[in-house]
Amino acid sequence: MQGDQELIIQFQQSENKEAPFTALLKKYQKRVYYQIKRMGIDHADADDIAQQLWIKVWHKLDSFKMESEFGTWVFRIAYNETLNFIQKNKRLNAKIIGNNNDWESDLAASDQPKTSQITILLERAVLQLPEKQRIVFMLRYFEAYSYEKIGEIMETTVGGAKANFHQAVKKIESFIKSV
Amino acid sequence: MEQEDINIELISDKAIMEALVSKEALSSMDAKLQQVPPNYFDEFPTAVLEKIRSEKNKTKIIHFAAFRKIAIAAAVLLITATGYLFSDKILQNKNEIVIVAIEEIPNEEIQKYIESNEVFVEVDWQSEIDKASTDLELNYIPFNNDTN
Repeated sequence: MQGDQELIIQFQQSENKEAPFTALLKKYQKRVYYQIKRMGIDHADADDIAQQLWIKVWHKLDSFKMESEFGTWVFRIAYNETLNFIQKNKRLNAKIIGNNNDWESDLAASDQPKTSQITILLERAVLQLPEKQRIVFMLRYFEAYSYEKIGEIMETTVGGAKANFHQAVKKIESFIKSV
Repeated sequence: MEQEDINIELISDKAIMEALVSKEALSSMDAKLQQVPPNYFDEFPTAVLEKIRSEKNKTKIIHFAAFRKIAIAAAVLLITATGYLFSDKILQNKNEIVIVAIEEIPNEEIQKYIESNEVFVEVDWQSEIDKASTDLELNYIPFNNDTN
Protein backbone atom coordinates (compact mmCIF):
# COMPACT_ATOMS: atom_id res chain seq x y z
CA MET A 1 0.00 0.00 0.00
CA GLN A 2 1.38 3.38 -1.03
CA GLY A 3 1.97 6.09 1.53
CA ASP A 4 0.14 9.42 1.47
CA GLN A 5 3.20 11.33 0.28
CA GLU A 6 3.75 8.96 -2.62
CA LEU A 7 0.11 9.22 -3.68
CA ILE A 8 0.18 13.02 -3.45
CA ILE A 9 3.33 13.22 -5.62
CA GLN A 10 1.68 10.86 -8.09
CA PHE A 11 -1.39 13.11 -8.14
CA GLN A 12 0.69 16.25 -8.60
CA GLN A 13 2.94 14.86 -11.33
CA SER A 14 0.82 12.40 -13.24
CA GLU A 15 -1.80 12.96 -15.93
CA ASN A 16 -3.96 10.26 -14.39
CA LYS A 17 -4.99 11.97 -11.17
CA GLU A 18 -8.02 9.83 -10.44
CA ALA A 19 -6.14 6.71 -9.29
CA PRO A 20 -4.03 8.32 -6.53
CA PHE A 21 -6.93 10.54 -5.51
CA THR A 22 -9.28 7.56 -5.16
CA ALA A 23 -6.66 5.76 -3.06
CA LEU A 24 -6.41 8.75 -0.69
CA LEU A 25 -10.18 9.14 -0.58
CA LYS A 26 -10.73 5.47 0.24
CA LYS A 27 -8.15 5.66 3.01
CA TYR A 28 -9.65 8.67 4.78
CA GLN A 29 -13.33 8.75 3.77
CA LYS A 30 -14.68 6.94 6.86
CA ARG A 31 -12.80 9.01 9.43
CA VAL A 32 -13.68 12.25 7.65
CA TYR A 33 -17.34 11.26 7.43
CA TYR A 34 -17.50 10.28 11.11
CA GLN A 35 -15.78 13.51 12.11
CA ILE A 36 -18.50 15.48 10.28
CA LYS A 37 -21.26 13.35 11.77
CA ARG A 38 -19.89 13.69 15.28
CA MET A 39 -20.44 17.42 15.06
CA GLY A 40 -24.18 16.75 15.16
CA ILE A 41 -24.80 16.53 11.41
CA ASP A 42 -27.26 13.98 10.01
CA HIS A 43 -26.34 11.54 7.24
CA ALA A 44 -27.74 13.49 4.27
CA ASP A 45 -25.92 16.69 5.23
CA ALA A 46 -22.76 14.84 6.26
CA ASP A 47 -22.76 13.20 2.81
CA ASP A 48 -23.11 16.62 1.10
CA ILE A 49 -20.34 18.18 3.21
CA ALA A 50 -18.07 15.17 2.63
CA GLN A 51 -18.58 15.31 -1.14
CA GLN A 52 -17.91 19.05 -1.23
CA LEU A 53 -14.77 18.74 0.86
CA TRP A 54 -13.33 15.94 -1.30
CA ILE A 55 -13.97 18.06 -4.40
CA LYS A 56 -12.09 20.86 -2.62
CA VAL A 57 -9.26 18.43 -1.84
CA TRP A 58 -9.10 17.52 -5.56
CA HIS A 59 -8.72 21.19 -6.52
CA LYS A 60 -6.22 22.05 -3.77
CA LEU A 61 -4.07 18.92 -3.82
CA ASP A 62 -1.89 20.23 -6.65
CA SER A 63 -0.70 23.05 -4.39
CA PHE A 64 -0.40 20.91 -1.22
CA LYS A 65 3.16 21.39 0.04
CA MET A 66 3.24 18.56 2.57
CA GLU A 67 4.07 20.92 5.41
CA SER A 68 1.50 19.05 7.50
CA GLU A 69 0.20 15.49 7.36
CA PHE A 70 -2.36 14.87 4.62
CA GLY A 71 -4.82 13.50 7.19
CA THR A 72 -4.56 16.59 9.39
CA TRP A 73 -5.00 18.82 6.34
CA VAL A 74 -8.13 16.94 5.24
CA PHE A 75 -9.57 16.96 8.78
CA ARG A 76 -8.96 20.73 8.93
CA ILE A 77 -10.90 21.20 5.69
CA ALA A 78 -13.63 18.91 7.06
CA TYR A 79 -13.76 20.91 10.28
CA ASN A 80 -14.01 24.26 8.44
CA GLU A 81 -16.60 22.96 5.96
CA THR A 82 -18.73 21.56 8.79
CA LEU A 83 -18.42 24.74 10.81
CA ASN A 84 -19.47 26.79 7.77
CA PHE A 85 -22.44 24.48 7.26
CA ILE A 86 -23.50 24.80 10.92
CA GLN A 87 -23.18 28.59 10.82
CA LYS A 88 -25.19 28.79 7.59
CA ASN A 89 -27.91 26.63 9.09
CA LYS A 90 -27.69 28.06 12.59
CA ARG A 91 -31.40 28.79 12.88
CA LEU A 92 -32.39 25.31 11.75
CA ASN A 93 -29.71 23.75 13.93
CA ALA A 94 -30.84 25.71 16.98
CA LYS A 95 -34.39 24.56 16.33
CA ILE A 96 -33.34 20.91 16.29
CA ILE A 97 -30.99 21.11 19.24
CA GLY A 98 -33.18 23.44 21.24
CA ASN A 99 -36.23 21.20 21.02
CA ASN A 100 -35.68 19.71 24.48
CA ASN A 101 -39.21 18.55 25.25
CA ASP A 102 -39.16 15.77 22.66
CA TRP A 103 -36.12 13.96 23.98
CA GLU A 104 -37.19 14.41 27.60
CA SER A 105 -40.56 12.80 26.94
CA ASP A 106 -38.87 10.09 24.85
CA LEU A 107 -36.57 9.37 27.74
CA ALA A 108 -39.42 9.25 30.26
CA ALA A 109 -41.53 6.95 28.13
CA SER A 110 -38.62 4.75 27.17
CA ASP A 111 -38.61 1.07 28.17
CA GLN A 112 -35.05 0.81 26.92
CA PRO A 113 -32.27 -0.48 29.14
CA LYS A 114 -30.46 2.07 31.26
CA THR A 115 -27.41 2.16 28.91
CA SER A 116 -29.59 3.28 26.01
CA GLN A 117 -31.17 5.97 28.16
CA ILE A 118 -27.74 7.22 29.16
CA THR A 119 -26.74 7.19 25.48
CA ILE A 120 -29.71 9.42 24.62
CA LEU A 121 -28.76 11.71 27.48
CA LEU A 122 -25.13 11.81 26.41
CA GLU A 123 -26.06 12.57 22.81
CA ARG A 124 -28.18 15.47 24.00
CA ALA A 125 -25.42 16.69 26.27
CA VAL A 126 -22.91 16.62 23.41
CA LEU A 127 -25.34 18.40 21.06
CA GLN A 128 -25.77 21.17 23.63
CA LEU A 129 -22.07 21.96 23.44
CA PRO A 130 -20.77 24.87 21.36
CA GLU A 131 -19.34 23.64 18.03
CA LYS A 132 -15.68 23.99 19.00
CA GLN A 133 -16.10 22.18 22.31
CA ARG A 134 -18.14 19.49 20.59
CA ILE A 135 -15.47 18.76 17.98
CA VAL A 136 -12.62 18.82 20.52
CA PHE A 137 -14.54 16.40 22.73
CA MET A 138 -15.27 14.06 19.83
CA LEU A 139 -11.73 14.13 18.41
CA ARG A 140 -10.19 13.66 21.81
CA TYR A 141 -12.51 11.02 23.15
CA PHE A 142 -13.41 8.94 20.10
CA GLU A 143 -10.41 9.50 17.79
CA ALA A 144 -7.90 9.68 20.69
CA TYR A 145 -6.12 12.58 18.99
CA SER A 146 -3.41 14.49 20.83
CA TYR A 147 -4.15 18.10 21.75
CA GLU A 148 -1.38 19.10 19.32
CA LYS A 149 -3.19 17.43 16.43
CA ILE A 150 -6.55 18.83 17.52
CA GLY A 151 -4.95 22.28 17.69
CA GLU A 152 -3.59 21.82 14.18
CA ILE A 153 -6.97 20.74 12.80
CA MET A 154 -8.82 23.57 14.49
CA GLU A 155 -6.05 26.10 13.94
CA THR A 156 -5.83 26.79 17.65
CA THR A 157 -3.19 26.37 20.36
CA VAL A 158 -2.67 23.26 22.47
CA GLY A 159 -3.86 25.26 25.49
CA GLY A 160 -6.97 26.32 23.61
CA ALA A 161 -7.76 22.72 22.65
CA LYS A 162 -7.24 21.55 26.26
CA ALA A 163 -9.44 24.34 27.61
CA ASN A 164 -12.18 23.46 25.13
CA PHE A 165 -12.06 19.79 26.12
CA HIS A 166 -12.27 20.49 29.84
CA GLN A 167 -15.10 22.98 29.32
CA ALA A 168 -16.92 20.34 27.26
CA VAL A 169 -16.54 17.69 29.98
CA LYS A 170 -17.76 20.15 32.66
CA LYS A 171 -20.82 21.07 30.58
CA ILE A 172 -21.66 17.41 29.88
CA GLU A 173 -21.32 16.70 33.60
CA SER A 174 -23.60 19.53 34.64
CA PHE A 175 -26.13 18.63 31.90
CA ILE A 176 -26.32 14.99 33.04
CA LYS A 177 -26.56 15.97 36.70
CA SER A 178 -29.33 18.46 35.99
CA VAL A 179 -31.61 15.79 34.44
CA MET B 1 7.95 9.63 26.03
CA GLU B 2 5.69 12.19 24.40
CA GLN B 3 3.30 9.47 23.19
CA GLU B 4 3.33 8.03 26.71
CA ASP B 5 2.25 11.40 28.13
CA ILE B 6 -0.56 11.61 25.58
CA ASN B 7 -1.71 8.12 26.50
CA ILE B 8 -1.75 9.00 30.22
CA GLU B 9 -3.77 12.16 29.45
CA LEU B 10 -6.20 10.17 27.31
CA ILE B 11 -6.72 7.59 30.03
CA SER B 12 -7.43 10.33 32.58
CA ASP B 13 -9.86 12.07 30.17
CA LYS B 14 -11.65 8.81 29.50
CA ALA B 15 -11.80 8.11 33.23
CA ILE B 16 -13.54 11.45 33.81
CA MET B 17 -16.12 10.64 31.14
CA GLU B 18 -16.61 7.09 32.34
CA ALA B 19 -17.19 8.40 35.82
CA LEU B 20 -20.05 10.46 34.40
CA VAL B 21 -21.53 7.89 32.02
CA SER B 22 -20.88 4.21 31.49
CA LYS B 23 -18.37 3.01 28.92
CA GLU B 24 -21.19 1.10 27.19
CA ALA B 25 -23.21 4.28 26.78
CA LEU B 26 -20.25 6.07 25.20
CA SER B 27 -19.54 3.18 22.81
CA SER B 28 -23.22 2.89 22.00
CA MET B 29 -23.34 6.61 21.19
CA ASP B 30 -20.38 6.33 18.82
CA ALA B 31 -21.80 3.19 17.23
CA LYS B 32 -25.01 5.10 16.56
CA LEU B 33 -23.03 7.91 14.93
CA GLN B 34 -21.25 5.41 12.73
CA GLN B 35 -24.45 4.04 11.20
CA VAL B 36 -24.53 4.58 7.43
CA PRO B 37 -26.76 3.28 4.61
CA PRO B 38 -25.60 -0.03 3.10
CA ASN B 39 -22.74 0.22 0.55
CA TYR B 40 -22.39 3.94 1.32
CA PHE B 41 -18.59 3.91 1.53
CA ASP B 42 -18.29 1.63 -1.54
CA GLU B 43 -20.28 4.05 -3.67
CA PHE B 44 -18.95 7.29 -2.21
CA PRO B 45 -15.67 7.51 -4.25
CA THR B 46 -17.62 7.04 -7.51
CA ALA B 47 -20.10 9.76 -6.51
CA VAL B 48 -17.26 12.20 -5.76
CA LEU B 49 -15.42 11.43 -9.00
CA GLU B 50 -18.61 11.87 -11.02
CA LYS B 51 -19.10 15.30 -9.46
CA ILE B 52 -15.49 16.24 -10.22
CA ARG B 53 -15.92 15.15 -13.85
CA SER B 54 -19.16 17.12 -14.23
CA GLU B 55 -17.46 20.13 -12.62
CA LYS B 56 -14.66 19.87 -15.20
CA ASN B 57 -17.27 20.28 -17.94
CA LYS B 58 -18.74 23.20 -16.06
CA THR B 59 -15.27 24.71 -15.76
CA LYS B 60 -15.06 24.83 -19.56
CA ILE B 61 -18.19 26.98 -19.55
CA ILE B 62 -16.66 29.13 -16.81
CA HIS B 63 -13.60 29.64 -19.06
CA PHE B 64 -15.94 30.90 -21.73
CA ALA B 65 -17.70 33.00 -19.13
CA ALA B 66 -14.38 34.67 -18.32
CA PHE B 67 -14.36 36.08 -21.86
CA ARG B 68 -18.02 37.01 -21.65
CA LYS B 69 -17.34 40.51 -20.37
CA ILE B 70 -15.05 41.21 -23.31
CA ALA B 71 -17.57 39.65 -25.69
CA ILE B 72 -20.38 41.78 -24.25
CA ALA B 73 -18.24 44.92 -24.45
CA ALA B 74 -17.33 44.14 -28.08
CA ALA B 75 -20.98 43.48 -28.95
CA VAL B 76 -22.09 46.76 -27.33
CA LEU B 77 -19.35 48.64 -29.19
CA LEU B 78 -20.36 47.01 -32.48
CA ILE B 79 -24.05 47.80 -31.93
CA THR B 80 -23.25 51.41 -30.99
CA ALA B 81 -20.97 51.91 -34.00
CA THR B 82 -23.42 50.30 -36.42
CA GLY B 83 -26.27 52.25 -34.88
CA TYR B 84 -24.38 55.51 -35.22
CA LEU B 85 -23.49 54.90 -38.86
CA PHE B 86 -26.99 53.69 -39.66
CA SER B 87 -28.71 56.64 -37.96
CA ASP B 88 -26.37 59.08 -39.76
CA LYS B 89 -27.33 57.49 -43.08
CA ILE B 90 -31.03 57.82 -42.26
CA LEU B 91 -30.54 61.49 -41.41
CA GLN B 92 -28.77 62.10 -44.72
CA ASN B 93 -31.53 60.23 -46.55
CA LYS B 94 -34.16 62.30 -44.77
CA ASN B 95 -32.49 65.56 -45.84
CA GLU B 96 -32.26 64.33 -49.41
CA ILE B 97 -35.94 63.43 -49.41
CA VAL B 98 -36.87 66.93 -48.23
CA ILE B 99 -34.72 68.58 -50.88
CA VAL B 100 -36.06 66.43 -53.66
CA ALA B 101 -39.62 66.89 -52.49
CA ILE B 102 -39.40 70.68 -52.53
CA GLU B 103 -37.85 70.67 -55.95
CA GLU B 104 -40.43 68.34 -57.34
CA ILE B 105 -43.52 70.10 -56.00
CA PRO B 106 -45.15 72.24 -58.66
CA ASN B 107 -45.60 75.92 -57.89
CA GLU B 108 -49.37 75.62 -58.06
CA GLU B 109 -49.37 73.03 -55.36
CA ILE B 110 -47.13 75.13 -53.16
CA GLN B 111 -49.43 78.07 -53.70
CA LYS B 112 -52.46 75.95 -52.83
CA TYR B 113 -50.72 74.71 -49.70
CA ILE B 114 -49.87 78.24 -48.56
CA GLU B 115 -53.39 79.43 -49.25
CA SER B 116 -55.03 76.57 -47.43
CA ASN B 117 -52.73 76.89 -44.44
CA GLU B 118 -52.57 80.66 -44.23
CA VAL B 119 -54.64 82.15 -41.49
CA PHE B 120 -57.00 84.60 -43.03
CA VAL B 121 -59.00 86.83 -40.82
CA GLU B 122 -61.91 88.15 -42.72
CA VAL B 123 -62.38 91.68 -41.53
CA ASP B 124 -65.64 93.50 -42.12
CA TRP B 125 -64.11 96.90 -42.55
CA GLN B 126 -67.41 98.87 -42.63
CA SER B 127 -68.63 97.54 -39.27
CA GLU B 128 -65.20 98.16 -37.77
CA ILE B 129 -65.32 101.81 -38.96
CA ASP B 130 -68.83 102.23 -37.59
CA LYS B 131 -67.79 100.77 -34.27
CA ALA B 132 -64.81 103.09 -34.09
CA SER B 133 -66.95 106.18 -34.82
CA THR B 134 -69.48 105.19 -32.16
CA ASP B 135 -66.63 105.02 -29.68
CA LEU B 136 -65.47 108.43 -30.83
CA GLU B 137 -68.94 109.91 -30.26
CA LEU B 138 -69.22 108.46 -26.80
CA ASN B 139 -65.82 109.76 -25.77
CA TYR B 140 -66.34 113.19 -27.33
CA ILE B 141 -65.72 116.12 -24.92
CA PRO B 142 -66.75 119.43 -26.45
CA PHE B 143 -64.48 122.52 -26.34
CA ASN B 144 -65.76 125.68 -24.57
CA ASN B 145 -65.95 127.69 -27.74
CA ASP B 146 -67.88 125.02 -29.52
CA THR B 147 -71.36 126.35 -29.18
CA ASN B 148 -73.07 124.27 -31.80
